[in-house]
Amino acid sequence: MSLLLSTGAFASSLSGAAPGMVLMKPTSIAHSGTSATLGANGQVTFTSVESVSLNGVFSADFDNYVVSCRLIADTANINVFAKLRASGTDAVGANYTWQRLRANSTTVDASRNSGATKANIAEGSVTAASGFNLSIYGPALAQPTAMRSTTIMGRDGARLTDLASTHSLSISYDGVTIAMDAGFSYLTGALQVYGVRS
Amino acid sequence: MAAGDGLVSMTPSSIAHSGTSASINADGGVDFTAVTSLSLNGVFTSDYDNYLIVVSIAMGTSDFGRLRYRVSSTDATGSNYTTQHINANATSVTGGRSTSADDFVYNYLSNGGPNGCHIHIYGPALAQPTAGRSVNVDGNSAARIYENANTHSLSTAYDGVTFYQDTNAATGNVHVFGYEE
Repeated sequence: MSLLLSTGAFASSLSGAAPGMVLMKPTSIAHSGTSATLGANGQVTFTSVESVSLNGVFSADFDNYVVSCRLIADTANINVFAKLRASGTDAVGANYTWQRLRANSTTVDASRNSGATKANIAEGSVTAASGFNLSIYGPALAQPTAMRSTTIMGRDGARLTDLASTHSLSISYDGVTIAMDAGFSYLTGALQVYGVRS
Repeated sequence: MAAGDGLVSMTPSSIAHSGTSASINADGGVDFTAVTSLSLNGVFTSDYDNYLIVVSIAMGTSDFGRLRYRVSSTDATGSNYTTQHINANATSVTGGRSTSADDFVYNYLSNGGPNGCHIHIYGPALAQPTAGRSVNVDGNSAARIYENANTHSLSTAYDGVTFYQDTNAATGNVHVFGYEE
């Protein structure tokens, strides 16, 4: 096998090991809104959705995951939430706590929401590009789950918002739903989930 | 055109710990149970400039998670670390700086919930000062942001890192990745 590797690849295999992050392909997706499509390699693209759900994307193979997402809101600036899910059902009990840290021009503020039914992870900005990276720690383990997102919000040109959240139940989850409060706006964009080698 | 793996798993050449147990797993990460310190040797090399460390930890009793660089199995314990932190706790936002410290706090490790952290380290194996940045969630009050930017002033090439707490034991997983160049 080594004989087939280029010199550079062989050096890489000696100094490091396997690739550090693996693109995960959901076993299925569901959505509310216009459309969502699961690509051949696992990317999920969505157009004017209120929610998109990814099933079978967390497994025992990895402890931690990273979600990379770009999005634009259709009609209004809107908070974006995550809900863990198992076997096609969202975890919607009041078991989420999220902490927000926000910088908007010269204003820096923070807030916390406890006993929530979903975790705030980002904001979609109308007509302006937004994006977030969401780290999810241990969703498939039968223990509480932690999440952390770093975001760029296109509202007012550019806002900086960091969000940290926990889910208190010791349940193993295999998926996640990205959603907004229904009836306010719709999201268009794409996301990928990566498994972080443990 | 894809030219490589992007992020490469760095398997420690060896580890050391104080506490119950620690082991290198098949993926190249390290699983640990009830340790008060954990040292990873040989995870920074001349092959990569920058690294990402992903840590997930559960605590029986809350404590600060601290980090030191190391080389040839010896920790850098001189007063050469500077840390800037920001703490967002409910509606309170505070910051602070620690200078001439002998380590840096990468995360507050709460027993109130799960703790997760991404630590970005810039140039630890280069013979120049090292910069680090942690982005985390800690379980204090169920969810809190307590994160840090830090520098280490010596122009020394390091090959490893030690995680430790002031007193209390930690259980979890840590994995070091190199950013392919």
